[in-house]
Amino acid sequence: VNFDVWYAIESLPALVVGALVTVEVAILAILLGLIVAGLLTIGRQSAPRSAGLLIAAYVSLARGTPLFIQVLFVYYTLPSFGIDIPVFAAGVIALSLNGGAYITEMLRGGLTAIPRGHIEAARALGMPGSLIWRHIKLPQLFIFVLPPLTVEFAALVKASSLLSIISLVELTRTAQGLISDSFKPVEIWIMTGCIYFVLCYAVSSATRHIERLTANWRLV
Amino acid sequence: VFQFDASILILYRDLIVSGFANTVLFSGASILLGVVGAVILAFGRLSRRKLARAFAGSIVQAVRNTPFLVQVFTLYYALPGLGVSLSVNLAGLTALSIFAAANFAESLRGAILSVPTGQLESARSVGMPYGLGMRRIVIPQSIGYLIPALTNNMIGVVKESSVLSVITLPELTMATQIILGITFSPATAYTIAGVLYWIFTAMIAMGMAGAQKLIGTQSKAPIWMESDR
Repeated sequence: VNFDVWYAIESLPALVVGALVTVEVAILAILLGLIVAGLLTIGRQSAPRSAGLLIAAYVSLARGTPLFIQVLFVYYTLPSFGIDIPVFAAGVIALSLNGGAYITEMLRGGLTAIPRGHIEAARALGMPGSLIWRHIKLPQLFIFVLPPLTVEFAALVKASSLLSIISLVELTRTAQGLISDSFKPVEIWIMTGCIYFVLCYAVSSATRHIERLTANWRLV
Repeated sequence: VFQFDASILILYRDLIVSGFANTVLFSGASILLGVVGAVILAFGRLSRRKLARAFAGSIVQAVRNTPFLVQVFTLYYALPGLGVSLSVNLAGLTALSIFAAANFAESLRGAILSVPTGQLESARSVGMPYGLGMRRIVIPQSIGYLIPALTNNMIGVVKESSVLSVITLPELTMATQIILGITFSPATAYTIAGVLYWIFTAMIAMGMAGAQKLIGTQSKAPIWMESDR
């Protein structure tokens, strides 16, 4: 067993640069995923039943097939629609569409968790729908989905490693590049694993913290 | 423009069938091995012994906080540097089984912890040994929580099995890549793969829902569940 400690330390700066791209992609994906999920949730609430079925099919498809396939599908088929997009955009789009489906389910769970009595009481007081959304539903929804959203963020950090297959130079791809230069897979994969671990562990610690904080604000 | 070329389905049916069979085989075997591993890891994490807790905890945390892709690369490319060479199939099966075990273990631990501690304490106080109390009192009550969580985990294993194509394990995604390489029609190739994965995961979801009905327990899962990727 020979583990080149110096090489492992030497490779750290390059890996950290890759990790920054990973974090950047994950942040973009969760923000865009939130927008996708918000639109789908509004669609579910207000559009006709057929649109609801379509949304349900999308969510089920995105959650029931591998992200690997989804990434490749987005990357290879978008150009055939005449949309020529760079790797970075393709990766972020694939990840946001996937994350959006998971977040849609979270929002649905959050909305069903709001007691009917709250909404009935607001209606009885004569609140219009828009006010009910602003003052009753959204605040409770926000408190409810904040912890699972951080879990989703950690999942997206991990999932973004798959973007290396379309040669987006994030952490995993950076690691592969370093290995093809140095032929030292042991050092690089262990360091890479450690960086992912630190990122995800930090996020899940934050999740526990946020869970405690939001617990005080929960009405149900 | 998006075009589905059905002739590919007929021309490459053998490749697709054998790829799908391997996906079923590898994810099925990993689920079975994962359940065994999960029982060990979950009870390790709940153990009073510090060493068992630390051992099981570090495995579960290491697996759950790193991407599966990196785990596969580590097992297949880095392990030989440490003196252990695994064949493609063995590396793939090992990686997927460890992934399954760690995730199942967390679901099992969560399910056990969802049962109030008073239940086991009462069982112990009427003279039941720990194992019996777990089997007769705690586990039956945790099923309603366990099955939905386990369903998500199993679907996760099937989906992650696609990653094994990066070490050229001939499962469905690998078969799709080969077809793509010959035909250059990504839309068709990935649609076929996507639909097959979708059918497989939907069958698991339905099967587990059926099992839950058969056992006759209500789903007690939290309204949001941890992402299964």
